[in-house]
Amino acid sequence: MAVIDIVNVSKRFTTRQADTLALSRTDLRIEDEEVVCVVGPSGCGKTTLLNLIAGFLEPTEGQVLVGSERVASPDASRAVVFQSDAVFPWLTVRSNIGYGLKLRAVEKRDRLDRVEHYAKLVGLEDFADAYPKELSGGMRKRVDLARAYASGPEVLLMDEPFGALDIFTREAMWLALHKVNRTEPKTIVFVTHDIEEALFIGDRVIVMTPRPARVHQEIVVPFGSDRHLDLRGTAGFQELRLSISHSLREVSHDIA
Amino acid sequence: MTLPNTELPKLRDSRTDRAQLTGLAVGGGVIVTCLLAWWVLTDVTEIIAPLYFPAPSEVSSALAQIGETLFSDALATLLRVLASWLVGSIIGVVVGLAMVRSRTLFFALTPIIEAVRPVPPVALIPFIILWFGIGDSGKLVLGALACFMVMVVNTIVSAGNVNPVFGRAARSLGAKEGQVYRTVILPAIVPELVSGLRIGSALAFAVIVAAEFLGAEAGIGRLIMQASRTLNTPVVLIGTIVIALEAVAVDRLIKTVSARLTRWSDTET
Repeated sequence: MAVIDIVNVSKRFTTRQADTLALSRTDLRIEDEEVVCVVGPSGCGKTTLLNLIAGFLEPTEGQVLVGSERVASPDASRAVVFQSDAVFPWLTVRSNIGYGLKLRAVEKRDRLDRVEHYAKLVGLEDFADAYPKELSGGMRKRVDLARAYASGPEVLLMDEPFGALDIFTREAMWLALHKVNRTEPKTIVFVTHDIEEALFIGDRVIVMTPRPARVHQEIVVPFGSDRHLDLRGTAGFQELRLSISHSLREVSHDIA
Repeated sequence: MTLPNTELPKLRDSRTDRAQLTGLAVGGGVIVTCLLAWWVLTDVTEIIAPLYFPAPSEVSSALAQIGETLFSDALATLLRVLASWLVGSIIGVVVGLAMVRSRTLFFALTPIIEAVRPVPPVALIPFIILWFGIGDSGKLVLGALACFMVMVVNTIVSAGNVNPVFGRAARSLGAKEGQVYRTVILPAIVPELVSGLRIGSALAFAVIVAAEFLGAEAGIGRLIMQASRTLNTPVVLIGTIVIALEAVAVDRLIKTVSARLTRWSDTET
């Protein structure tokens, strides 16, 4: 069971020049196999929240619990997909996907079977021997996604993973994520500044306030798990989109 | 050397192939012209006195005379260079990575390395002879030291340039700190290490031959020094040519091997 419990968490960054409170007494609970999208003005501390769950950062106050264990450092149970290209350029697609398994010394035959499975799942079975430089940006993101799933985490943390892609590739990645996550549901925290993306991906959307970030609003997304791209054209979708957009404008006004 | 590509990358077409062929033709032409000029200036017209620069005919007869010892001398130098280069470079990379990993080690070793680095290795020869004698060990230590200095700095600088997102990704996939160094930092810096390895191999030749000047049982440096005492310029010339050939061969070897290792990289080595 991978329930994420963020309990009264604050994060303060102290440097010689400045003292920044990035996250202020935030409480958030993410259920097992729930997909939660976090939206907020840029620089609001969304990524800080994600880094705290990943274990790259430690909270100044409060605690982050995954399962019932306190997060202290990065761990294979929490895979991260970053916005920037984090696929290892010196490994082939196959070795990239199998990286986490190899670290855990999974037996070779077993490892290759699982790599094959995930390569197929993201539609890269014909590129298993290619190096990342031979792939497009969207394909590299698929490798990244497959690598994260293949390492068998309980939680998937995605930090604006599709932010650098063009809209068509991004739509394709939404569908790819849906497909993979239907086959193998994970608890997902997905940070984005794209409302449409948040609504299309998420079971729940969290709107954060500007720095110091707090949870401003929670929206339960009522579209079920079988989603089609045309969903975005429906009245229900547009209504939610508008309401989130207003809510974002509201919180941004507070600082303007 | 490879001509650095300063133009925007362009697709390989018949024009770039032709440019490459032209380059080869020009290079070959220059070599042939030089050889021809050498022959004309010495053997044919005797404008250059044999003492200043030996004629091709003298060189070939000297070659016949020293044939056998030349081979063992060439082999001795090559083996010393390869051994010291290999050992020095490996230690350099390992120490460099250890210094990147441990701040304590970094601050402890940096002053020593910074102090020794600007000293030309050749300047250390008197001490090396005092400590190790004129046998192989001193020469190997000197060559290894030169390569170590190149590689340790090369490793630290290039490890610092590795995109931190790779390390984070590895850790979130379950890599422990040591595994991050072995599976991320090290492979990521291979293209940069190759240039250090090439500089190191050239340096190793320079240092080893210089050390051989001052005393060795076998080696191209010994051959050149002995011949120069009797003003035997043809043998001196043969020695320098052998060094050049060996250095080029080693460099080519490194290039060929590294081309396989860095297939994944965009940068050409």
